[in-house]
Amino acid sequence: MTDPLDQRRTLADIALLFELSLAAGTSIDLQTNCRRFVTSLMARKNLDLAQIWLRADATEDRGAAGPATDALPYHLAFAAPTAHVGVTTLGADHPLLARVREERAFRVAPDAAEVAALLGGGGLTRGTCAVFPLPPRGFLVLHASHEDVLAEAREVRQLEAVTAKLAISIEGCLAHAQAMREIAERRKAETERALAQEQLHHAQKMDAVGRLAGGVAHDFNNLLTSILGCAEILERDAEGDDQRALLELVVGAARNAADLTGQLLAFSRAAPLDVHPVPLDALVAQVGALLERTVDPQISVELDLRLGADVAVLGDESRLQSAFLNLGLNARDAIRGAGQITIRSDRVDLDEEACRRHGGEVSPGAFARVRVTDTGVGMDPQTRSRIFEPFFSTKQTGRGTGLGLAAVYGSVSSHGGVITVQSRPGDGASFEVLLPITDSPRAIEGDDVALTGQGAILVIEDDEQVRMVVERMCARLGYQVAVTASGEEGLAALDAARPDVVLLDVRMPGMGGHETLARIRERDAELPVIVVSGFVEEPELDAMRRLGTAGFLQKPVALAELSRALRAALGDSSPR
Amino acid sequence: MRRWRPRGIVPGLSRLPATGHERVPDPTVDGFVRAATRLVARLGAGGQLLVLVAEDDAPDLTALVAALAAQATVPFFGGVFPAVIEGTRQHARGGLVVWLPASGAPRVVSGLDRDTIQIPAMAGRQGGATALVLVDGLARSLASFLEALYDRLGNTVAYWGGGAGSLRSGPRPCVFTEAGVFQDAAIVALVPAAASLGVRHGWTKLVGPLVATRTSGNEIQELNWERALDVYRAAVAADCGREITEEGFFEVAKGYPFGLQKQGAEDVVRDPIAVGPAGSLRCVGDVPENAVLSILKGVPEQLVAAAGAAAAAARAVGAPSRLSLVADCVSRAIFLEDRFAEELEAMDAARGDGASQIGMLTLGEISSQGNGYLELFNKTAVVASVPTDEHVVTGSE
Repeated sequence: MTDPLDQRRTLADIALLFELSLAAGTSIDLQTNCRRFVTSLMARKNLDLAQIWLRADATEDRGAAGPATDALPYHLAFAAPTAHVGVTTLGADHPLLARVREERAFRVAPDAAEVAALLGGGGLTRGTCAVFPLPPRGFLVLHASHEDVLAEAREVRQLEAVTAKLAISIEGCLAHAQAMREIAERRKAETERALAQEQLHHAQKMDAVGRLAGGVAHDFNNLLTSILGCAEILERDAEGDDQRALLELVVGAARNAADLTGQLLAFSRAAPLDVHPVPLDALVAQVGALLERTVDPQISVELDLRLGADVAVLGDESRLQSAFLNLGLNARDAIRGAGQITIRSDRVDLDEEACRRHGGEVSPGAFARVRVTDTGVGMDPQTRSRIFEPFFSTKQTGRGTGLGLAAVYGSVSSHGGVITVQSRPGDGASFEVLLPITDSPRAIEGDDVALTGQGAILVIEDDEQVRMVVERMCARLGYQVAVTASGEEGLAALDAARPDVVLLDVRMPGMGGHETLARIRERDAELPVIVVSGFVEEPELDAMRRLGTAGFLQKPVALAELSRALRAALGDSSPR
Repeated sequence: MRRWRPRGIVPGLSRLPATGHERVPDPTVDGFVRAATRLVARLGAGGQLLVLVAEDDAPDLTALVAALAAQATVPFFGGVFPAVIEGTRQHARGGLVVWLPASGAPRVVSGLDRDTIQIPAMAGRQGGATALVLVDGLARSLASFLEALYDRLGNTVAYWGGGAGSLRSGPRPCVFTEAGVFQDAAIVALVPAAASLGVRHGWTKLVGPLVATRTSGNEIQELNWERALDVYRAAVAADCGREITEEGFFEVAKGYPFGLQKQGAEDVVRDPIAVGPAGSLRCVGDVPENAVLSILKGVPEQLVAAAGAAAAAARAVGAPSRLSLVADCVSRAIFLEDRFAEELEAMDAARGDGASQIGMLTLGEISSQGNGYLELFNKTAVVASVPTDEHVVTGSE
């Protein structure tokens, strides 16, 4: 035993306690305080290892500093040096922890088997270890190879006193870290709430504009139905090339106008979808091939499609094709001179957090992701924020309708998907489309031929011009036609003579299409009814579908479309 | 006297690896290359070369590295030091080339002028190894480097080394490997044998305790809550018997360093070398804030005896050694002046094993004080006895 009255040693002890007590409270950061304390302790005591272990609830949600929880493991919070770190977690049943919970410092005899167990396979098997509690939920392990260090009981008691200062410092740091975490979480929640609010405003604005656009499109489509129908009929009966050429011009112009209203409807999400499983890679490959033929030779189009042939989305093939083509053309227009358009597809799984980032517009699950990236001029934040609004265009007057990306937005939304854009001025742009994946892919197919048929058609349509045109078109296709101007008239005609198919408008004064269909079903559950409209909202159409419909035709109706719909309703698949 | 736990010899080796060295009297590139070539011819290509270059008339280091890289067939590393030591003599001109067994190629750690140091991947060796550590002695972040190095290797190795550079020339590139010549860098080379270490300085307490109440890295700004220079002056003036001015500070301070307490060993010396802004004292090596210090005083006889004690402590226990590596602080040589030769003789004699004593005068010494925490020392003699059956000296026949 050393002389307890050795003044030199007492002074050295005071110096050590002074330095370590202050080192423990250097800052409010746990790692800084542990490092300062441990570094000073190791240097003054000539130790070669120090490890600080904290119970799991120290760094997780701690709540009130309650009593020790015996079932919790301990994690290594600080180690010097890390060269001797073996395990980093001690299970709640580790034999050491029972002794630690007594909150008394203890020393392990030199070279005892416990040393290796205590240090968890960090390579140290010899020397002396001592363990000091850091109440209420931690402990400090010290190790020395030197025979005289940690050798005396008085030294262990001395260190126990100074490690108590470290324990207080650790609790303070943990409380501070917890407060910081709570502040950060609150800020994050506030940011997310602001973002969600902004997205809601944006969605409401887009919805309002969509309704307006849909209304305009409805009226415009009725006019176009008349123009197109009449022109097509006249074109067939035309005498002489001059007349035919002029009528071709009329038909062409009407179809262009119909495309525009189609885009408006796509944006407004009012255009009903002809939904089937669509293998997206095949569809995007078609778009890519089309794009390659369209773009300037200085622009390369690169495809990197990784969804696979078996992955499909439930959607309207033509609408999706149009959407991706629009994105490609937008990319093309953004490139000045040479550049590259890259279309990549892959599969991505969105969790709740990812869906929240998309403003909650999608639900968790598997998604097909298609990215259309260009090396073009890019966009500033202001442009980026308005890029999907209808009639917003950065192109010169006359070079763009401002409807392309609006239609893409509407199409993607109506497919249960979401579209985002990333861009900076001078850095090109990348549009990302996410569409929910479905099962059972289907081959892409198509048909443009008008097919004749036989049977009695009842037309219920309030617009006189449309009524007349549809009557002529049906007659042209070989059907017998009866026309009525309202729901009530239609029901009366139906009571008088059962037709083979009904062509039913949706928006009519008095009894609308929905109610008329309901009355028809009261009379005849099996009668094929084809819904024809220039603007109908999806919920209403869904309700009509539930009553039983034999198809939907979007105004303006082309002769070939009408013929296929009638043939399908009549269950006739033979060519005529 | 306390004894350090012996590390023993490398298991699995039936015979200890040989070592060798050659003194290069003339400081020419050719001289170093010829010595290197002769050593490799004698001891084979399975080792590494430690190249110690003395400061006076030192050859161009870039040319030396290029020539050694072209002609030596083994990895090499080294540095420029105020003087090299061979036997009981110091040489301020020329140098030494030392052949040592190797465990991997020497590694360069750069960025010792930054706060965060990245240590490359390296590992100790089962059964023991020695890390030879050469640093730019005037680099800013030596404490951070040693902390990071210890974090990487722990006590799996014994540490020996010191600071290269020049007190005369100031900061400049001073350590090298075949990868180039470096400033603000360190070289770490592993020898696959655990050396026995001895660390002593012999400086004794004059005044204390004093509290370093405000510090920043290696700068003591306040002692006992007052301007550091004022307190230092008051503590030392009576003993030194002369006025302490800012200009002549080092002339006095070289005999009155600070001591940092270390339990079970001598204080760790911190050498004050200059007066900084607002009366702060700039030291070689960091001084932690709130550390309790002493001011030490040098007595030549005690310093010489301490150096001998360091060599005796390093005498290998259980394994023979024919090579004793010495890193001795240049400020001891400055303080002892002509009596420094006595220190080298004392070390050589105290060991008593007939081993070859070679090394260098350093700007800061590095050791793990036997087993334990890695430290940067000042004004200290650090001795490592490398286990070996045979030490070859070439070029002298």
